[in-house]
Amino acid sequence: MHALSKIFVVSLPLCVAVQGVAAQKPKADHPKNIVYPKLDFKLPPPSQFREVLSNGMVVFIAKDRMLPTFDLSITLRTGSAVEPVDKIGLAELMGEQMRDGGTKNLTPAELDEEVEFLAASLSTNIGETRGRVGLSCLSKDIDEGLRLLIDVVRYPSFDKERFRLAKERRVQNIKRRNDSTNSISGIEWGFLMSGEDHYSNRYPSTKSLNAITRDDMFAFHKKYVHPANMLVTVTGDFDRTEMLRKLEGVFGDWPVGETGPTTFPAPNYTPKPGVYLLNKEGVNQGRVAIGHRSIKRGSPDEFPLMVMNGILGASGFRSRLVARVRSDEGLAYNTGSRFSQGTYFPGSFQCWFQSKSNSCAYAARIVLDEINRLRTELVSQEDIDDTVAYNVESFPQRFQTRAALLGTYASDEYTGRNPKYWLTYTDNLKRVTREDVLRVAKKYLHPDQLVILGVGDADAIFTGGHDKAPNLKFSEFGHVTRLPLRDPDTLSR
Amino acid sequence: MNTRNYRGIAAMAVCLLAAPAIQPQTALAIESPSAAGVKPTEVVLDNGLTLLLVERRDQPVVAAGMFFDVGGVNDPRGKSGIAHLFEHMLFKGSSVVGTKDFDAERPFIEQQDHLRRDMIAEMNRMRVMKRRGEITDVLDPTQWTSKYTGMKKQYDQLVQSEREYVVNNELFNLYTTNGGAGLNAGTMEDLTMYFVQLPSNKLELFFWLEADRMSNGIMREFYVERFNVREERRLRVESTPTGKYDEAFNSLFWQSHPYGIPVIGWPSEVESISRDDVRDFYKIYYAPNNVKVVIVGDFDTDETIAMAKNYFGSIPRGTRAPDPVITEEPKPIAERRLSAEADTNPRVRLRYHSVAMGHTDEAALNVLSGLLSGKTGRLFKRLITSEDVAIGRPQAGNNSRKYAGSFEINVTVKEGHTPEEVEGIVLEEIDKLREGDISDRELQKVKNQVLASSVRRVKSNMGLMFQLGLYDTWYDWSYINTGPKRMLEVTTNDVHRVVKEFFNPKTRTVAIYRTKKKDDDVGAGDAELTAFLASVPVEQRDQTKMMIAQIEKMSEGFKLQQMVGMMEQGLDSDKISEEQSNVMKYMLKVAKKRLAELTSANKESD
Repeated sequence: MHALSKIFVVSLPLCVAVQGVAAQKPKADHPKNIVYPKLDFKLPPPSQFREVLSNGMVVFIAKDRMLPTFDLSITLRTGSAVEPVDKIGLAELMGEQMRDGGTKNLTPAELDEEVEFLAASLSTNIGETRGRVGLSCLSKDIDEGLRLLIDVVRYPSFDKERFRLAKERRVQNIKRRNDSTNSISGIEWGFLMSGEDHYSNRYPSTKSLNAITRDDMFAFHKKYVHPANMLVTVTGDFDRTEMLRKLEGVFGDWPVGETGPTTFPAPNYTPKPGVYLLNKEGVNQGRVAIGHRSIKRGSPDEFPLMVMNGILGASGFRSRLVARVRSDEGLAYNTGSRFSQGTYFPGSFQCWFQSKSNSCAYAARIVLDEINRLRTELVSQEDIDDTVAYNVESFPQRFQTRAALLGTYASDEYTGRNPKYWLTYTDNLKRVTREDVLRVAKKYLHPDQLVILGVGDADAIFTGGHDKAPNLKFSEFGHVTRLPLRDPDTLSR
Repeated sequence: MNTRNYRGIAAMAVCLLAAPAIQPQTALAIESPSAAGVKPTEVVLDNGLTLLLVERRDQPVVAAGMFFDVGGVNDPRGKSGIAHLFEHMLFKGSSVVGTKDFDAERPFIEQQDHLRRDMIAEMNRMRVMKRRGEITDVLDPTQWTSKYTGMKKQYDQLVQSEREYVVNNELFNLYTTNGGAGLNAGTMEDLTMYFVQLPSNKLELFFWLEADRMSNGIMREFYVERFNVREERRLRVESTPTGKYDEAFNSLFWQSHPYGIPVIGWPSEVESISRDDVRDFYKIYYAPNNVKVVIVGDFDTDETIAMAKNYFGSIPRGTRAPDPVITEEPKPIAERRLSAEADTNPRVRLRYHSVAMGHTDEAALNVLSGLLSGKTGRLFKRLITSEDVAIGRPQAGNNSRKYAGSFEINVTVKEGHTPEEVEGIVLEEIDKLREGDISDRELQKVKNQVLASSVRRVKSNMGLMFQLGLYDTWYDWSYINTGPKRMLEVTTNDVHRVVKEFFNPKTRTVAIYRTKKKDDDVGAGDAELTAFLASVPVEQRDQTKMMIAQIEKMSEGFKLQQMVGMMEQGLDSDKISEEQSNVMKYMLKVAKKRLAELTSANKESD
């Protein structure tokens, strides 16, 4: 076993009284003038970690002997996007019950006992467009951990009693969808962007949950959970060759089935611009989202858009929204923007803030002004430099652990991103110019298409009354539609 | 800039359980990773500043943090929230950072402060007016005196004038454009921390900026930032389903100890904090003898010590030591209970007073929480598997802090059962631990988890930095090694002893959350009403909703009966439109339902 002491290089005895330990460098008069040593960071390419097992499974593998631990993650090619429309919730339930519902060899209680006695972590879940299995244990327990992992993933038993409890828990929890403005806003934004029918807006209801049977879970498992749909990452304290041999042993004899979905359908819906207000009683702060659909990943304008969004609201306190809405005006603790470039279809552009009810209209005015400003004025070179530096200088930290690096590479492999993407990332950012930002802002920001969603005390939000804009109302931003809250179970109105 | 409340810290305290140092005890034990423990280099400068350094050269990054021995408990009476507000202010720069020309800016700051003193005096006069019923809210601009309104205008003009010299958020920008990631700060009841992760070649920037804001802070844009703190309170406390009740519960639990005062402050007090107050606070609590500087990552220890001395060494020790926190919690004399209705699942929280970090009983209390938690813990087995009265994962945790501690059990109740029923079962499980059997395997499982998690939790630089900083502020950094070691030595008798000592009816505070009744929450949760309202034209919706709410609140059966009759007649009329008919039908249904409720209530009272 590897002693922890190897991690901590102790270069001085404890409690040293400092007496001129080393020569002191003069202090710079301003931090802008500090001269730093050069840091040469080179990202290792994915090929350095990528292996293919005899059954075709891709494995990203990296030894990391800092601690005596072992981490394995499987990305599953499946998702709730492909579940039957009359069984909404099936994928998520199956994902959870693979782990919670026991195996052919172990009852749920026996499995829980083995995992917790090993002090391991073993989890399974399925989201919209991918599933994940995670195992984390001490490196001395790798064999035991892999045994439990394969038992769970390959031979789930979907115990009846655990299945009942899981469904009842969900039925109770879905009634709480209207408890917080955060939840209401998140759900409503999805509907406003992608319509009522898109898979991203399908939510389990009591009816759909009650329609799901154990047989459905076995069928879904059989169809999607097998080596053709698995992509593995392993990091930790092991010998690489030996680990690959173990993985061959664990996965090698598992028949490879049909490959799962490699793409997911785009919404067949055009968002309707305007102001939408939803009333939530008993809250004194409005939650506002402003935006529209964006674009799909892979555009030649990807990096200029990234810089544009950074300047607007995604570079922390350097961004214009934080500087104006928060620092200058004191209107919101939390504000910002994102311009997500969707993996399978266009994502969404969104600016957000939470502010006391009567100042929401004034804060929204500032956000809209800033969106317009990007479309009409060249940003400064300082804006560009700071925003690019924000991303470039912190680049090494994205990959500071082997698990983070391999996770990124595995995700890229899953979604089909160019393996050179991260190797050219900083150079692409550095090439962005002021003119690029103005051009993409004009092309991709559409004030006439904006959807503005406000959740909270709808009357107070609508009325406004901030002392700097006492007469400003949301009706100035477009047609106002007041929507009742959805039924929390069915999400219908 | 986060405010971490006491409840949030419960989770953090549990997760910061530190590194392994001992062989397990029984044949059931997992093999130890033969840990040697964490051994930072500890340096104390002449001015009292403590430096804790851990070199890890595998990746070119460093995690660096400043941990000040100050928090909400140090807020002077009547000025709750000052420690947290101050944390925000330290991001506003100094006489060097954040300004284009400080000599030109300074007069505007001084004029603001002068005016603010007059405004505070006028605000105090308005408080008197409120006590006399002349106004209802001193924070409502429409109720301000004309004198105060005038001064506020003048004040806003001074702020605008100062802005000409301000470089917005320069400290943030300096950090982030140099690769600073995860830049943030947090204020707790007994700690304030500032932290960042940097590329290893930029460590000098940390020393420059932190030494500067520790000695040259000027609390720029003080009063605007206070509005953001107010929004933070709305976001975290006032506009969440249970935030207000959680705050009330915490204040109920702590009778005298300042742990009961919210770190983010009471709104009425935060409003009255001035820059003068904060300056005093700064001098006392941000002196070098009151801070631990912790750095973990890729650096050379000798060079880093030299840099620390270069930047921090010249800052003078504080002229006055912080006042000790002397208030102790009195021995509880009776159970305390809070009963709340909120937009949430039904829930029960039981909280007991426990011990401060490092107390001889802490390890046994931590092991006790392990016995109760997890899928194989006693609470899950009894409440979910056996009784089927709860949902999710019941939680139990001991939260030992610098001055005192608490032990809390938190369970979400399954529909069809009551929080009181669940509370009774939880109490039975606690009783079983007073003297009942605890198997070797059960105890060993908890110890295995202590050991494994203590290894995992030193994985990241940031995680290790937080643990060292917290422990050294609350107790001693060596807790990272001794904490788990003590837990591995806990016996069944130790668990029995602490249950008997700390888990008694008089020492507990209980919160019962019930789901808010739909009748009180028209339109939010009632599917039928929601669907109905959707069919009403938007412009009539609020009025319709209000009328329905009024019917639901009517308490005189006679009037209600009259109303039902009139509506039935109205529906027979051919003069009403289809839309009006729909509305009236629904209201008739609501009225009849209410009438039935009143009739039933009368029968019961008879």
